[in-house]
Amino acid sequence: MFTAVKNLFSKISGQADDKSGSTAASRMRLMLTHDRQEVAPGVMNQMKQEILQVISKYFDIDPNEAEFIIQANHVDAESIFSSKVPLLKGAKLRPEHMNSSQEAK
Amino acid sequence: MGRVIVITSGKGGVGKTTTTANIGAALAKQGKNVCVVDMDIGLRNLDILMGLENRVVYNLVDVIEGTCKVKQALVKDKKLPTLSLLPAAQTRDKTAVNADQVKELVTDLKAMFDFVLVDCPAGIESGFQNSIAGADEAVVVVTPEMSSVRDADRIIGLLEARKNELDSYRLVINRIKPDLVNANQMMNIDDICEILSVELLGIVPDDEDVVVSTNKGEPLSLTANKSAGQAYRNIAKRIQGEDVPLMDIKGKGFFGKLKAIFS
Repeated sequence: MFTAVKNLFSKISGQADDKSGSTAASRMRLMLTHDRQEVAPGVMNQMKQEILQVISKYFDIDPNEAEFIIQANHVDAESIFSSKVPLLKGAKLRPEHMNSSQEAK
Repeated sequence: MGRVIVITSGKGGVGKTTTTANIGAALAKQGKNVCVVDMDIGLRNLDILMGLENRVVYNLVDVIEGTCKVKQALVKDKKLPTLSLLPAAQTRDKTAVNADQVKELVTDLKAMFDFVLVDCPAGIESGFQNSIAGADEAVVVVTPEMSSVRDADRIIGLLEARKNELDSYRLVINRIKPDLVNANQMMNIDDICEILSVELLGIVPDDEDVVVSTNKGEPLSLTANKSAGQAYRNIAKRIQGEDVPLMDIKGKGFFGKLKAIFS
């Protein structure tokens, strides 16, 4: 009974728990990136994992929040690969690498 | 010399033929000489939407094979003397013609009409290649669904590869359901334009009257006062260079929905 009332209300107000319009738009952006680059999504994922592995050797990172984007459009042929990898709060370069960088100086 | 505009989409069933018939009818009503060409050889449908299916004698393949002259194959609209249809063949297939032949044909039509609208078949194969041969401009029809947007992106890529021959390609977003967009359960106009990075020619709301007008064989851009009919007339004006603001597509709103539930 309660769900029925809730459903009725969400029908009237146009509200729903998940906003599939935004989900569709973000899935679309990612999908077209792969389509335009002719890169299979699986290959992209593999590269992402490898890059994250390398970065995590140096910093504590949050792999779930990492974003990898290839910006490509039809108008100009140039494409940009960019990534955003958030470090964990207070993360600094791992000590073992600090030493080696000082030695290098 | 007229302009050849191809109406295309990649995906089937998004409203290419409806768009062609309605823009064609609106342009003709606005005083232009218009020819709509059905390039979907083997799956003829544009004649139905225009209510001209009983008047077809010759078709596009007959013209290309030299069985008849262009003028003999053209079917004049029942109401608008400025509107003509060049029907597709129903018993042949896409391999009956090639791109060079189509290009020659539309060039002939360009000399006879202000606007030649080519209704492209779904897909990216020879039917599409034939349809864009000789086109000056393209209109890409898309609905706010992921599969349609993806296919449109593919088409835009193919059009972009021919940008030396094409003056422009613009987007028509069809079958927008305002209630779903308002509830963020459908990609909105800004999302789609940004994702496809292409100029917007017009937006058309989802309208049940499209079904009715197809049943009657009268494009609703000639009859309907509002909604999709108005949207198509606006698009026709923009094609002629007029600056018409985008239609305000509103949902039924709270009370409208309440009424719909209890009615």
